[in-house]
Amino acid sequence: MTCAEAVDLLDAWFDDELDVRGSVEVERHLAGCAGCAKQADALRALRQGLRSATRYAPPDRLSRRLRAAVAPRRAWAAGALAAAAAAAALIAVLPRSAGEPADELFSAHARSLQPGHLTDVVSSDQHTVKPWFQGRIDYSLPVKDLAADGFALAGGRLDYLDGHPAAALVYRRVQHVVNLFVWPGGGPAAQISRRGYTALGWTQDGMRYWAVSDLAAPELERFVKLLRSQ
Amino acid sequence: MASRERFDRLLAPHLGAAYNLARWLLRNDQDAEDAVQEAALRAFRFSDAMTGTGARTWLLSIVRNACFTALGRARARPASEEFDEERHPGNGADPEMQVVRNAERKMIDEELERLPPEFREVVVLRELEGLSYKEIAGVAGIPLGTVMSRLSRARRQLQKQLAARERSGP
Repeated sequence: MTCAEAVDLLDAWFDDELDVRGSVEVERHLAGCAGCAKQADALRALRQGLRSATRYAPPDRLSRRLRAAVAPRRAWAAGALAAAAAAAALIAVLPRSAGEPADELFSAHARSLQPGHLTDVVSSDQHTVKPWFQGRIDYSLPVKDLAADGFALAGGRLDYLDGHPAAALVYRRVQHVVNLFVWPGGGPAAQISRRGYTALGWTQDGMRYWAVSDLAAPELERFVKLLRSQ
Repeated sequence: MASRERFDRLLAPHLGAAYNLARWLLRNDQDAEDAVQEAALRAFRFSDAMTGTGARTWLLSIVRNACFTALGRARARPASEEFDEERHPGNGADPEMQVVRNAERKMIDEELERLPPEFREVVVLRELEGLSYKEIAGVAGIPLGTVMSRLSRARRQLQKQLAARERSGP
């Protein structure tokens, strides 16, 4: 390993982010190179110095204010005791949603847009995506490519919806992302819109489908029509 | 799960990290508090199916985005772009604090603050919060390779600044 190569890897080695082979090679180089060893010492000294940097602590009121803000609004309308009782009663009476997990659909979609969360298998090839799901879900998943119609398959991932693992297929339409959630189940055709996002639900061949996207509703409907017609 | 319980379990453990990151990026107590409050509430609204392990990265990513948005706004107002001494009491404003706070801390804090925000971010996440490269990539929304090179450049610059300062005396 040359000095230039060693220096390139030095930070990653120092942070324990190299694989075993890489670490061994860097360490072998450091053992025989005073210049690079000095740089490694400088990294240690910097870390030592940074131990004395201030770690700012949030004021207590921040946590207090947040806890108050996340409590159900109803708790503030009634007295604290009555509110606690009411909340308990609500939880007891409301059946666990067996139908449409609307909130979960939108939050699963939002989550998928976080960096690194969109796809576990990255492929535009349905013959790569479909087998990836085998062994991860216990049902057979229809995977269709709609690239010719402007919706390119981008990959898939395993998500978790309504207490069950759900397959999520990812399609792209220009810069828009469509999440297609699929799991065995049923339910009526449905459309939900929220904060600029649209979700379309339907049932086909014993599978429940939900398409979620920030695409305009008519465009998402076209996507659904294409899927169902294939 | 009740809202408070969910908040206590998922987000409360990471408020310290969130505030520290925001405070380092924005260099001001009140701005940091506002940014974390807004970000935590937004994180909470989408926390339905979130698990404990991803919660820190997720909250931090929302916090850092809020901070960089705020920094962008500040940049658009040229007057507040300058390093503002008044927002940094401790530089002579409180002699007792000076004594308690040792010289090394003062030096490292000031030099860390002088790094560009993108550099400050990765140093704080790695050295003060102990995040892995993968977690930093998730928080900052950058590829793993960029984490490595940015952190490396940030450290070189910080070393350079500290060395220059030691040469010029306290």
